[in-house]
Amino acid sequence: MTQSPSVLIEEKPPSFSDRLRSIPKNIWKGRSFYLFVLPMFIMYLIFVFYPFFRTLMLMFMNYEFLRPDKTAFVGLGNLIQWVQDPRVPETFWVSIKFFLLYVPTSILFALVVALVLDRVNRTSLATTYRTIYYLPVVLPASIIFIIWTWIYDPQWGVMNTLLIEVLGINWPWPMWLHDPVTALPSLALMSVWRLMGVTMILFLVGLSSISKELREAAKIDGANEWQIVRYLELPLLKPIFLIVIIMRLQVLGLVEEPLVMTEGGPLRSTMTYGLQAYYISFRDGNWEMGYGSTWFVLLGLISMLAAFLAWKLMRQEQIT
Amino acid sequence: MTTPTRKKTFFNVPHLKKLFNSFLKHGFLIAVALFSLAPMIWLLTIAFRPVEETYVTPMKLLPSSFTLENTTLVIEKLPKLVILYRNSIIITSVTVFLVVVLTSLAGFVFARFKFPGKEILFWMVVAAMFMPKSMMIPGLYEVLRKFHLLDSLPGLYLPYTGWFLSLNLFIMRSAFQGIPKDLEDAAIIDGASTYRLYRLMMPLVAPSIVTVAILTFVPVWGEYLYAFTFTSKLSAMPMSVGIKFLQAGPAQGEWTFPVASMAVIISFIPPLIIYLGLQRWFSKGLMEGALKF
Repeated sequence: MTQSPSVLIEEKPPSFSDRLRSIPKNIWKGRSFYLFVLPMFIMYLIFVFYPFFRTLMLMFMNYEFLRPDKTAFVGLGNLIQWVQDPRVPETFWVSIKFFLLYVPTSILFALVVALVLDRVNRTSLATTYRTIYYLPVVLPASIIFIIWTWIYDPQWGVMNTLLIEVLGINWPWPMWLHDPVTALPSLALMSVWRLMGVTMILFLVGLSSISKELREAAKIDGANEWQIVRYLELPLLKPIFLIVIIMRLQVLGLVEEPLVMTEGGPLRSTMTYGLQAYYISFRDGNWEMGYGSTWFVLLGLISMLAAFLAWKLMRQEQIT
Repeated sequence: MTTPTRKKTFFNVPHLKKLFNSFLKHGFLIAVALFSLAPMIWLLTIAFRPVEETYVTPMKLLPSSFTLENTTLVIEKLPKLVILYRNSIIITSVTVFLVVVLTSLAGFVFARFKFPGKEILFWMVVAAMFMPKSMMIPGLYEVLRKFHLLDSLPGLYLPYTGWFLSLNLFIMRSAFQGIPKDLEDAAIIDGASTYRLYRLMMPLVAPSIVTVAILTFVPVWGEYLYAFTFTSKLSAMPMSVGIKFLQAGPAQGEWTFPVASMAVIISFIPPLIIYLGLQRWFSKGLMEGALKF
């Protein structure tokens, strides 16, 4: 087999129809590669793609799990019901409140810790600090939630013990998770504690990319610590802020924390959007999984839209 | 009198100021460390305190004496706890194993070879990363019911595997992309098959495999939502859900507060061993997996 020299010399890009025609041949040539992908892809189809598709389908059906006889195609009926449901704005507001309580607090806290830690980075203790701060992240989440319900317990919990024994405050005892006013902030405080390590590491990574020369130069020019933070480090950390905020948009779909710790109570004060969707599908009435799917799909749409907007914003910021 | 020496007041002495500064910094960092550890320390004091001392309101911060009797009580209640623990271990290890094998096989060909549909297949899987996981639950419940997998161990580790494919496929592909082309060329000249090449490259991506294993292990070990929805019997329930049913106020049922704390502490042991043992991989893996926590 000799190849004609002209083929080697003129390398014309193949036309679209040529490429189309060569697809079957290339598929055959790559058959062993598909074997490598196949196990993963089957897994993906059965346990990710099909459930996703199935949830989408359920959105257009009246499907009550415990009353299969009532199953029927209802078209946009669920969507209309969703738009008119007063629980949608109510629970969505709870989710947003949680976001507003949790995200700024956790960012501020992690930022301060990272700024201080970055300044002692050369000492051997820095690794120890980092290890300890990250520890709550690796412990099993659901069990952490249970521990914090114990911590918040008005009678047996350590929170009130601390207030009484250490600070000497005997009255009033906060009821923490049992009081509609403090329940949501209590959940937020727990989350700040649990995930501080993640945010802190992200800030540390950002800080380590700021060159030491820049900081030295600022110092020689007479800038004090606060000015270095305010005018040098914070502006350079901007991308990290955006990454953290995008990451934390997930809490709009918060389910597990209130499910384990408060079950949405007291007085629905911790009934987040995600939890309400879960309860509609798997606890209340006949398990209205059709209508519940509508809630879930719209949650997916909203959080993907939010992530997309934040991502666009991030791109814009990096250009300027 | 304004001689330069008189100006050196206490805080103007440079090294004293520096000392004071680092004292402040370390003081703050130690306070934050205590805050991070406080719940665990408190839990330890409960687990080793006599049961009677957990009945007083408010409970004292520190017990008057330490006791080991709760450890034996946990052992007495062992049957249930052992089942929960066993389920968790099986579910987590099978998930980690499946995720590592599947994503490394697929990541390898996605990184090194060209074939039709490659990009579409890859991004289809990776895109699932951005979906809220709760959204899958109604559909997943239907799938598991159809396959009679509700209340079974595969009914948990298979969905978990599916869930963790997207992120880890992305990580594994980047890992294989980082291997120099020379190695591949040399192996192909030697007549190595695709599978042989995969085996050859596996040791080179070992750090990423550890990352993938960690990023799968940690969330699965503590997962609640899927486990709570898809299991109701002890036989398939993992520890992350089961412990909630052991939850007790004082004297409620067989689980007293100290015994429950002891059970909780036991559930911390595997992640702690892995965290402290594989520490240097954690911060590396974190950036790649930050989106997942």
